[in-house]
Amino acid sequence: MPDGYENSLVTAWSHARCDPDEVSALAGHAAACPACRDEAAARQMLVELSVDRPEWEDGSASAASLGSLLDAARARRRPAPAVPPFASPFAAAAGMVDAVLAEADSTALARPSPVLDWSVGDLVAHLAAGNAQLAAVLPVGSMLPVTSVLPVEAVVSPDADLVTVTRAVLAATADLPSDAVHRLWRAGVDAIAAALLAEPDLADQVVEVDGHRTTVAAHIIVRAFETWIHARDIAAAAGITLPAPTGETVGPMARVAARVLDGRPAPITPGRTGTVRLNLTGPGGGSMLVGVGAPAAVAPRSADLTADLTADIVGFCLLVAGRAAPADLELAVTGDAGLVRELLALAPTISGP
Amino acid sequence: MMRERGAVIGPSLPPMSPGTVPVHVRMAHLTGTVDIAVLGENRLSAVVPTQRDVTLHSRVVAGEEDALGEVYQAFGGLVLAMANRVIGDRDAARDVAQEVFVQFWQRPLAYDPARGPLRSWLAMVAHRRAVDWVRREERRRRLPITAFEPLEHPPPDETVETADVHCRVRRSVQTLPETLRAAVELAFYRGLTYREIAVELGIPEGTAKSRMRSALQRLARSLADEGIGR
Repeated sequence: MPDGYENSLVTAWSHARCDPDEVSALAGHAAACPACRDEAAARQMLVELSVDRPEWEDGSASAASLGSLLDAARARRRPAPAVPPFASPFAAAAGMVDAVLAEADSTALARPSPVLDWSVGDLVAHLAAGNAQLAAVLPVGSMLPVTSVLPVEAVVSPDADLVTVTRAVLAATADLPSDAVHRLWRAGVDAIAAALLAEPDLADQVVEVDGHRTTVAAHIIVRAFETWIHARDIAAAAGITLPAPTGETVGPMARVAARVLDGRPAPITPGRTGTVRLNLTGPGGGSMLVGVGAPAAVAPRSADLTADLTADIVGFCLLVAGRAAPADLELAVTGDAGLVRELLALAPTISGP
Repeated sequence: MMRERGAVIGPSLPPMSPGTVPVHVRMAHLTGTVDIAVLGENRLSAVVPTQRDVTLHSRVVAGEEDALGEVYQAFGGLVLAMANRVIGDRDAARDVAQEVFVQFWQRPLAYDPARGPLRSWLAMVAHRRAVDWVRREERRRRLPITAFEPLEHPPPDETVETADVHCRVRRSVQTLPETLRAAVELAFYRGLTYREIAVELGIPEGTAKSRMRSALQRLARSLADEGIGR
């Protein structure tokens, strides 16, 4: 029985929801199974304690004890880095990677990832490489953390696309244990976070990273998106479910994805144009206009809106990342279904490795 | 202009067709979302996670310290009560309770909201850790006293008075409360450091130090009453 998880029959018994045959079966089983016997005792105790009792509302969660708890917690796992609000999805995604790596053993890290010929363990170096490319255009101080393992030219050279830089990091860290690569990646995250915290006005600065020219704020959301997706890839290899990000994290990712999609040429029927109203449901959701073949007008006429596509916001992001197909999602379409098919075909093309 | 919409929890569900996996089930697994409406459709409907559980968990996974504080505020009393019910020692129960939350922070993905409420999970972990604590203490008490005794016979150059003091100190140590005695025995009869004591007893290092301080104060008073150490 995994630590802390419920045996559904024991749980039902503790809530007086078993019929007599089930109680008899459970009693017979518990007589021979110490784990279930312990669990039954624990469940019964929990039910007894479930009636609010003032004797255990004794200020145990006092400020002093909370402080002691946080000190002890920080020593075991670092919190997400402090960042200005526009970069909070990046900090949250970094926290997810730390949480996932706490569960992934060497066997899981050796499993293949969905990216090129890389293992899921290689994805940590890949994230470090992508962060280094962004850090190289930010005032992160005298040294990029990744330059502790490879020369800065490998990161900033005009030929250094993300795949090339990743391969350089992988080669430079091939003999390092996985936790050392984890620390290298985290040092890069912290360097970016510190630079943004020191100069929040960097958000609106337009910079070019890996051939993409946009604001620092948009670049950091792209980093957040990639970090989250690869955290999911590692989690999948470790056999665990990474919970969906909060609305505050996934909302900006979805909006940046929609902006990148806007105006791209139709992939199925060249020359096709139209505007889709993309309605994303769930925390962080909202409606936005995405143009196919031409950018959506800021204030479109009703005739310009040729289709509505409604989708779960997390599902939409996974579609963009190539981690979900339209058939995996609950989609609602009204209007020009053909135009929606164009948009759905476009979605995964904007994501690289 | 983007129009923000409120959160939607739990889509309306199509009837299940035999032999198929409904897309909402596939989707929940894919996206990591927890459909509380679906979980509620069984006889354990009183024990499904709350939306707060789901959100707090996501935030703790994302490394938000404030979220850990909120979890502690919400469930600290229950976890302490559970640990104290099993252990019957408030100090030890506090240590076990703190460790439950520290472990949750360190490995938040050990909890899966789809399998039940956070409250129940934390309580079960607290119970398990408290039981482990009690069993460790019982094992320690069953160890022969010679494991903690110094040499039975004092070295030849030791005076009778010194041997007598040793005997009185050993007697005083045996009268200490269980938690303090364990720390003293590990320090002075097995030569462990504070850090090693903390690891052996499964407590924070600060707690090991405070127990040693308390134990030594009591011993000093006890021995002073017998005229030793003045």
